Amino acid sequence: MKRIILILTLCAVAAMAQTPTAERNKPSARDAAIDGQAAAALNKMTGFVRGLTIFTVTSEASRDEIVDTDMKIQKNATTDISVRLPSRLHADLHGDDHDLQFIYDGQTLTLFSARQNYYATTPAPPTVSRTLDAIRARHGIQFPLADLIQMTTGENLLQDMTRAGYIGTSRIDGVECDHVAIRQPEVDWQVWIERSDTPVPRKLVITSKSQPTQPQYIAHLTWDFAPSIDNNLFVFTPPPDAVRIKFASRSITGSKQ
Amino acid sequence: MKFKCAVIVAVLIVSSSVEAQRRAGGSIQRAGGGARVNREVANTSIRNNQTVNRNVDRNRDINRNVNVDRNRDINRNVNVDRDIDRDLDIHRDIDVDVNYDRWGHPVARGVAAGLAFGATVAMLPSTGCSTVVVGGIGYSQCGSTWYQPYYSGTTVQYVVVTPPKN
Repeated sequence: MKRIILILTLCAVAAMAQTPTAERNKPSARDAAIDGQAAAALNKMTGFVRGLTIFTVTSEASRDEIVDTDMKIQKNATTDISVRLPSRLHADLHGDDHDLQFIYDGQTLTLFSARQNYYATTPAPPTVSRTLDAIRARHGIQFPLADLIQMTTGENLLQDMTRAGYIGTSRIDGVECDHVAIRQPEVDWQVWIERSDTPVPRKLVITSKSQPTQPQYIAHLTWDFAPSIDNNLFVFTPPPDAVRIKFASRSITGSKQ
Repeated sequence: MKFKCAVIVAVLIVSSSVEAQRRAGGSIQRAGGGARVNREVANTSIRNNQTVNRNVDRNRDINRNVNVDRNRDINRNVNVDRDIDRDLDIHRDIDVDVNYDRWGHPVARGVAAGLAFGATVAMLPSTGCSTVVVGGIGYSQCGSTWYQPYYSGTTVQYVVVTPPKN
């Protein structure tokens, strides 16, 4: 009998403990979970980048890779991205494991691997935004900083946000920024937004929660809003000895990131 | 008494190794010796696949070559495939070879390993391979084994194929 009472008590305590969580997840409570100062900083950033049409952004990024079952190793890459919306895109990625060029000319997307001298080309949708999604869904290609490029095209990146907090101000690469932390079901992320009339993200950290080791991706960003971009950048001419290969397709359901 | 103790010790050893196996089996991608088929890495995107796939579906941006030959045998597919704009249809269930070592380096599998058609490796044998272009697409011939390089995401992998016909 004592045991039954104990179990009942434990159940009651567990039920009480769960109630607030359940309420927090209701849509009506979502606004309360988004801090006002955090929302203001995020809105300033999205509003500003949506006005961009021609820009370059350079990222110095590190990405955790899991080795030896559960050890995190940082792999580094520098990426230069040139964008001319709605339909031109170029990225040059120099990393520990790859030297890659991504070229999109409004009709086709090419991925060139300089180390192996391989390239593959695939027909692409007519806009940068749709192309970024199509190559990810179809081929599992995550274009460098695709999220930020999608934000400039008007994609709502905040739709999966369950909670956002304003952490404080912070200097990134010598520039005063607002530090905002965002929670989503699969990832937590942090963004440092420049406190100026050009409120761009200066730093980004993404923590993957689906893996037990919670690996992180960390990128420092440098923007240019008035770049001179050579048109030839968006045209791929295979080097003399380059060999054409194919992209693997992947099924759209159950595709992994 | 001695016998009883031995049984208990044996049971303990067995149960702890079962436990170790269970822990090691945390990821289905992991194989023996700490080596893995694919690399486990951090996400670089905050957007989930469902959102991306929804956008693509809405815009009907998967072009028709995607589902070409999904149910065909991969080797026939590679040979039959004369349209170089078509994608390579890789059968995931064949892709079971160990591609990376404990420290994340791609591992070359010897030609002598006798890889099955459709098996995928991250690295070719270091010697004895040459590039051959057939129908505009590159292949690697290593002795009597033919590989077709392809992009899996942004990483080049090699699938074992039957010799391509000119």
